[in-house]
Amino acid sequence: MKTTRRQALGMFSATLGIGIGLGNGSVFGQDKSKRVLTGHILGNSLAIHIPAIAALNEGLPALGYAPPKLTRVDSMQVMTQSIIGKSAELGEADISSTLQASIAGADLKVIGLVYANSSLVFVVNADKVKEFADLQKEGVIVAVNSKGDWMHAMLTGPLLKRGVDPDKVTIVEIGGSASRVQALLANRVQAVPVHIDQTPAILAKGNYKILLKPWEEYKLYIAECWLVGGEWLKNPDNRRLAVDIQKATIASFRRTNRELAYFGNSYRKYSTIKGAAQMTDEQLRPVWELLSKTARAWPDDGNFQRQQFKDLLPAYKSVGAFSKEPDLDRLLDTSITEQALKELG
Amino acid sequence: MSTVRSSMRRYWMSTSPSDLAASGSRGLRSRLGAVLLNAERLTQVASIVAGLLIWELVATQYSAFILPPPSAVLRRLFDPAFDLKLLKALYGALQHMLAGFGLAVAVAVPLGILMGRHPRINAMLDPLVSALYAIPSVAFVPFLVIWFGLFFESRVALVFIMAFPDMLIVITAGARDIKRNLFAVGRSFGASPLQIALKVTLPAMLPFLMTAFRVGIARAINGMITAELFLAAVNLGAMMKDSARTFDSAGVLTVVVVVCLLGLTAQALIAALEARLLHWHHR
Amino acid sequence: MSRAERISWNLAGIVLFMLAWEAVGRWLGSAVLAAPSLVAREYVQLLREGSMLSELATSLRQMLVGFGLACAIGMPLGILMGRVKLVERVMTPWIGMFVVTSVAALVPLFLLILGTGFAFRATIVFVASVWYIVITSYNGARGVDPGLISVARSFGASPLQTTLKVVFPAVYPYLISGARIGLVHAIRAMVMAEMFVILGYGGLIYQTGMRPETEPLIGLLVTLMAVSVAATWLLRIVGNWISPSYEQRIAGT
Repeated sequence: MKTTRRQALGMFSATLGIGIGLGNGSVFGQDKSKRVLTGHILGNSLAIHIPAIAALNEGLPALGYAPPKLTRVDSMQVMTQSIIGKSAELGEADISSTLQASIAGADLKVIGLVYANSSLVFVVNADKVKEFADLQKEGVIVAVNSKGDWMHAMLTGPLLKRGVDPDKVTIVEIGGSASRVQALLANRVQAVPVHIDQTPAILAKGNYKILLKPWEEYKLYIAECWLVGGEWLKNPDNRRLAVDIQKATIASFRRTNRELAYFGNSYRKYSTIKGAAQMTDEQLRPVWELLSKTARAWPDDGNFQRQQFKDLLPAYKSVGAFSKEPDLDRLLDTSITEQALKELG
Repeated sequence: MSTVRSSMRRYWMSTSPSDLAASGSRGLRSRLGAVLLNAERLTQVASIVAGLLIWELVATQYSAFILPPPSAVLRRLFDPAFDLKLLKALYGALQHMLAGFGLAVAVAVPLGILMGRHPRINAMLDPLVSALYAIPSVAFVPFLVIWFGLFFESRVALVFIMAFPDMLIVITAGARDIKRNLFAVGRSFGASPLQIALKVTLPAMLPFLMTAFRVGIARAINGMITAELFLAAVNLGAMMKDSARTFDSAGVLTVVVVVCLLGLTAQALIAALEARLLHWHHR
Repeated sequence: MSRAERISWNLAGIVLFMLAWEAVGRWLGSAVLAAPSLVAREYVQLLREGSMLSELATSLRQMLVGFGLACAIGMPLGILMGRVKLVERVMTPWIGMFVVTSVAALVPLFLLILGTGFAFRATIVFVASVWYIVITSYNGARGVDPGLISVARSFGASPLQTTLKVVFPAVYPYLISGARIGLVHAIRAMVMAEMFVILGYGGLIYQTGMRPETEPLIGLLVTLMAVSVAATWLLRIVGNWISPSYEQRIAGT
């Protein structure tokens, strides 16, 4: 009797094990004939991300791929580690973490930009913070996504310019811009970087103001890139996929710049902001004009150039991000974008 | 008094506080002790050395940040600049660890004895303790941020939350097992209540209190590093995050090794204390 | 104390606690500690919304793989340690070391090596639970009556037969007990690893924790508690079903 029970248990656990294995391993219901890209994207998609996210979701299928399997990852540090650990093929990665990983010897390649100028601003609790110098006060906490990431670097530049010691500013890590908004509203932190289209909702909730706008401080501030593994890119099929990712991205950039309606549609579909689905094109026009025309965040040529990375290095160095000079030739693969531009014409 | 002692010795030889969390490491530790006494240390040392050698050899096949070799950790530990940073971090880390552990002891000991000696109080509080135990402590972090902020107070609170339930369970079980007739023996020798408390109750409780401390200190060290990683990153947690940020796996691993050594040291200290206080109590 | 009396005291404790919580919750407001009456209402909402349960299912599935591996490797290893002197001596120093190492400290390291995917989470769960399973199985195997084994041997049983027919049944209660301890640690590790990388159920706790009101956060913790209690209860039932004397035998450790 006992043995039977044990056998039953054994069979049960075997079935369970196989079930779990199958559930994790295979992709039921996917069209097997088409290539499925697995990608990690950041936790929140805001206006600035929309053309690139639309490119993955709609542009790639238009080029003959299956819809990609996208997972949201909040921490930018973790995002880069995901690509190194091969948890995903494509990552919407932070350039700062990527440079650090490359210096440490990780086999990574950047194939293009997710956008070419940041829409991120620092919003502060105006009761406690009136100017940059107030950030070093006792009881003022600044949240960034991950220490040493591009948001941290973006703040450090203006601080140094105004003679404020960045080391005296209390920095904590909160992944995900939506979480940072909540933390600011709950007065757990007093300064957070958020995207420009998240600000109206915050400013309406109390005495908050925008302390830092990158387009007033920097000529151009690139921040997020499409990241893949170096070994992965050596495979010809993957290389073809990479070119198509860039083709889709740049095509989406171009269309966004020309058509407010296309941007509006994508925004309503892919933005993670509350109430995005109900927003009209006219409500979105200001942010679209700012990002498309003033900030030129979605350049028609992808604007993926070595020089931009070189220009940013001083800002990243100021947050202690690098132990030595990064080898940009090893990290950047501009040929993918060149090929994509050639094919797009 | 010697009669009381011997009756207690007999009692503790026949029973030991049985507890879910403690039973595992107890058995292993006493076994470890026996092995050491039998001078079978050699196999163990050989095992460690062989393990590290294999690891070192395997690590040569991978890049340094995928699998750092043990030699890289050793090199880091012998680097004076690193050690200075490490000592500072340890000093900071021990502060909230000890504060949280102290608080947990201060609450768990009286409450555990109360619950162990009074079945009704035990029946009232037991479901709540079980519920608290069932929730992973780290899930309380968002609450701690709301209540205590992101810094020292919050870290102390997390250490407390992690060490407290485990200790309470051991102490309650131990206090329940103290035999009533122990008190009767004391009284029949004409001892005052204070004398009974000092000479009978306390010595009878020491073995399971020591077990509770050993379980508790391991959890407190766990809480210490968890707090530094999950609240505002400071001390050892900041060192780990900084190393992880620059993809310096050897640096991360070195801190892991330090935390492990800290745990082993704390266990050894309590074992030494136990041996001193409980020399009459044979395992 | 009779069973009925104990249960009524249990209930009295729970009711008193809920009343105190309700009072404190109303006094402090839901930004600091939501009262249970508000949590109950929010909980229905959380159940209806569905993201709580779907995240939980995914997380638990990944956890079960890590935990299953820990059982599959930990139990035989523990038995082997209890029966073979050399294995015991080789393994004890390592186990002593791993048991005191906090899993939280391993998370940044494994994150670097394994990324954030399934392998990372399953590995963390495995490392967090396997040593407890090994130790408990080892304690069980060590205590097997040598007389039984010599009887088996004298009847011409092979070492494998002896292990399967004598050692294994004697160790059974310990295996279940080890699985129970391991499962508690597995669930803890799952939540911890996920909170660190902000993914899955742990990630949901992290994100919810940033919201200004605490009702949904408490709701998530209640679910987690229910899962943990249910899982250990289930293992006890299974233990009793397979080996009816399980409870008495394990009480003697």
